[in-house]
Amino acid sequence: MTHQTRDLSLEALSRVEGEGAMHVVIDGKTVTDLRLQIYEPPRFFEAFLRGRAYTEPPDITARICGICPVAYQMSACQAIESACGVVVDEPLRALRRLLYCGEWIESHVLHIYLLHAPDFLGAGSALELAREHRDVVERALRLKKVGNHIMDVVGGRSVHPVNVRVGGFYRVPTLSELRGLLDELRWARDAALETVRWVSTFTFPDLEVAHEMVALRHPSEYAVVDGRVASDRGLDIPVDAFLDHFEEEHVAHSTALHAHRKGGGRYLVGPLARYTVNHDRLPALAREAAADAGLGPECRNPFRSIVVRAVETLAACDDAIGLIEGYEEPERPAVPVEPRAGVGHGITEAPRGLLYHRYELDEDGAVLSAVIVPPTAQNQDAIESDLRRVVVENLGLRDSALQHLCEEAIRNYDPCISCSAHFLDVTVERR
Amino acid sequence: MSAAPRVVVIAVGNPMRRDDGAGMAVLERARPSLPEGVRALSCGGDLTDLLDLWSEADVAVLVDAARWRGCVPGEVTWVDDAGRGADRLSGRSAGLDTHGIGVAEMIRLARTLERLPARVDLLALAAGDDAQGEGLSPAVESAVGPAADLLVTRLRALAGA
Repeated sequence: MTHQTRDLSLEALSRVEGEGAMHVVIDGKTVTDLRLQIYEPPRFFEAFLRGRAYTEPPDITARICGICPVAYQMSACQAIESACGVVVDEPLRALRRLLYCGEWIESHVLHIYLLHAPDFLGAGSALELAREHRDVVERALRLKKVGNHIMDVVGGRSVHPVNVRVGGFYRVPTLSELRGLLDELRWARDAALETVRWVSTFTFPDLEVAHEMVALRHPSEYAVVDGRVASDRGLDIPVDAFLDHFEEEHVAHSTALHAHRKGGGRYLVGPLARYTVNHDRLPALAREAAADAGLGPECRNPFRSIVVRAVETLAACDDAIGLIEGYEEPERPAVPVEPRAGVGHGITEAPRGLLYHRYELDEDGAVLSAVIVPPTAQNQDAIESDLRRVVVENLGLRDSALQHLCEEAIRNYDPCISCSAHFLDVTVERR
Repeated sequence: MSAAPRVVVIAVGNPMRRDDGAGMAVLERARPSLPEGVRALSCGGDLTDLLDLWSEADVAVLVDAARWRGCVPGEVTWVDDAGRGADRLSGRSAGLDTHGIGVAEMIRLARTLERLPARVDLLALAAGDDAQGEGLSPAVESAVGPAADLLVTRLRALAGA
């Protein structure tokens, strides 16, 4: 039997965040093996957190990702507050949501315009996009900067916010500081609407996935900072039951654990899942924009995730405006949190999907154990499943074209294998 | 007499990825000796932030962990006017790219958008260990002092101090 191995790796993969590798073995017309290898940081952090004070996980876990530090901070705070029996005041919860809006805007805009859109426009990179569509990239950078400004004002700085603490914040912004964001946010809302229209004109490959869609769901909001864990198949559980329904398993080819529904079953978190589970919770403006962009009440085509991210960016801008217009300076920047022995769970919606934290504390508040389940680990099985389909349905393509299509399929998920580093090598073996 | 150039030095990297924190370590070592008027900043995540961080500078110096052909961990190199010569830098040789868009691509993007300072220099330290965790590898740790000295010397010249 002939055995041919081709390395199709490197430079073109720079628009996948982080480090990983994909290995495909094709035997004739059959994909006999497909493994997405991800080297993921939370495993290291779980060990790193043991013995630390209960006040430390928000700052420590924020270092896991330079793109979504707020997500790590918020899930960590919620879990520790839960362990200590504390619920933050409503105005502080609203501020957390506002901070999260900033992160969603930043992260989604970066991915939509600079990492994902080039795939649909035949541009090899953001640089090529800038050469051909400078106005579009300028709009992206200004829009993204609005997210940065929210992070600066509420979080203390735009990268790795320093103002978040267990129980709330070190300092809450003044009304005038927040109102100073409004003019640019109103521009951003218009720009986000334009973004939805722009991405809706792209041509999307046909791919419908049957994965169970899992996301937080809130009684009245498009859930971000809290809610119950729900799915399109009727799952509806409290956050502290997460590990009763989901489990992770080691797979040999990855340092990331693969997550499944207990008893088997692949599931998906992230924009497609949030949209499908919570379409009816979107602000009216975003729901109308989604309909105008051709989206129904659910979206199962991962290639259309760029449209969903745009809709969510619009929702975040709209939400941020509402939160600022309704802002009343909290009476206190943080709720006192006294340590006690116990276990706490936290789930928030990171830009890439549901992010679970669990901490066990001793009576002095020292962390006895930590569990972090990031969105990319939960989606890894679904990404591999999509890739398998993409490969099987496109076996006739030359290796270079097949590689490119695989990269696109991976980018659909905006996988946060970042902070673990640098490049993705793709290897296709044809036997 | 013309005004002194506005100089910013920006450390790029992630200290939780071992040698990827080299840039931050060098800047911290150099900080007490930085020439007056030089702004010291860091960029730990999304590199598009560089566009804002250097927006008011005439000269930007990036300090970053990197790998290049034939490099030995701990090796230090200074790239003069990397902005002008960005086409020679590949996405992987000009800094460890942890977030989709690397330093080299950001320089080229900024140049296309006419948002590049008049001069961008790069101080690169060859990285060895990029595993998860704090602390530099011994080879890179031993290079931090000499790199910081080089940084201060070059910044004095660039700032006209």
